[in-house]
Amino acid sequence: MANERPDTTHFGFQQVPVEEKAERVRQVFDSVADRYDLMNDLMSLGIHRLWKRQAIALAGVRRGQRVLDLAAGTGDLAGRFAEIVGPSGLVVFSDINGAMLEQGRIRMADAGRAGNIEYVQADAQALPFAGACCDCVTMAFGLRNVTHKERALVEMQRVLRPGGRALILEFSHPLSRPLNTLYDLYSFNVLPTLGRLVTGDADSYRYLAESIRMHPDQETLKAMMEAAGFERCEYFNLTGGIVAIHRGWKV
Amino acid sequence: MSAEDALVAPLEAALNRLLALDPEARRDLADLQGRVIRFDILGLGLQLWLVPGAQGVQVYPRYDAEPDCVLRGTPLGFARLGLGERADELFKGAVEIEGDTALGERLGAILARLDIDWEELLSKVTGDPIAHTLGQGARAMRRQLARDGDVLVRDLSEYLQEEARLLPTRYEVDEFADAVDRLRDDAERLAARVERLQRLRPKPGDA
Repeated sequence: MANERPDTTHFGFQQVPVEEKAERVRQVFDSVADRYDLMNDLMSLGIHRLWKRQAIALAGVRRGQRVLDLAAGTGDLAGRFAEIVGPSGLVVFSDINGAMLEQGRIRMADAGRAGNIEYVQADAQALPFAGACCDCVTMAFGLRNVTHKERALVEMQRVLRPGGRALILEFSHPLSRPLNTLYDLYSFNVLPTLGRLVTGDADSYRYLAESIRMHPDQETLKAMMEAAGFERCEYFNLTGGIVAIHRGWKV
Repeated sequence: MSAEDALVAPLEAALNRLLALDPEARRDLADLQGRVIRFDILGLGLQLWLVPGAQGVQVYPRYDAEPDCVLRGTPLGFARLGLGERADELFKGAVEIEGDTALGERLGAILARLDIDWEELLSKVTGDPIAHTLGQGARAMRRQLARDGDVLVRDLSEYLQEEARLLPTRYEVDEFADAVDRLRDDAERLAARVERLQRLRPKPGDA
């Protein structure tokens, strides 16, 4: 952005010092962690489950593979991956937020998923993994909260094996103007109210809505992936572009 | 027609409810965990991808991986899966298997054991009227096949017993068993007689 000074970054519509963003994002997710799942259902009218199914289908993971799920949150992707890769594979369930990671761990255990899942609290901008260790890296609804997105993309590319793919499921920019208007109305009026009613925290959900607007659009994110070294980058618009799945390969 | 996720997700849930009632099928299915199986449903131009897991199956309208195995058949062909123990045989004829055929047959055998109401399942994807028409056809065929099956079993046993003389009839088995009994009794009687004669024979030095 033109008015963005080099040492600040956006936190929703506000400008905050770079070193503060991570702390602010942490506060948001600490606040919503225990009802995040319910809120997702309400926010997206349950459609987020279908978006995640599409991401799984595009990942095309199979038996024995290693999958790194960043910003794994409540584990919707990780749980399905664990079922697919089986005992000979591995799913690394990773989130930067301790509260979210703990919620996810409890949910996975309650669903009887164990044995091939490891839990790692990690920053996507500096992953504590060796290079070329995974067949697939996914990040669903996480990238927009990362301070330096380009660093996270470079890290995702680094940990992939040649032939591996990264998938980024994230809110994006609606393709049509009427949809956009409706969507704005929903996210700035309905959403914070829902947030206040369900989690008692309207501000966190206002941040979520604002951070979606600040997130790069489909073509920009694709270009960022190419800059990070991904090949054959493409994106798939879901629900009129409200959400997009970006996919890139390491060759 | 491409099935959409919104339609396939309830189908997946319905299959998993069935599997939840059948721990044995779930165990067998877990052996196929992470294999990618594609169903081509002919006539409807419908593709469904199935990925078994330890707790159930995942079903997708598309799955971006090379399938380990492709099962191709009409809805009626898949409906024949529900014919109990003869399903294995019928499955081979009615549904074409490509790729890892052993995988396809194992999956077929598992699905055959589940009491799947294919009409109900398909209706989730195609809508009720189409599925009901298919379902009526499938039910009629299933009844006919069950009837044909009974007749076949009777005819086959008659052929093996009377014509080819490869297998004995019930009467012949009874006769044989009686003869064995008689022989055993005779042998025992003879042994007793030999023993008695040996006792009667004067020992040397007695006379």
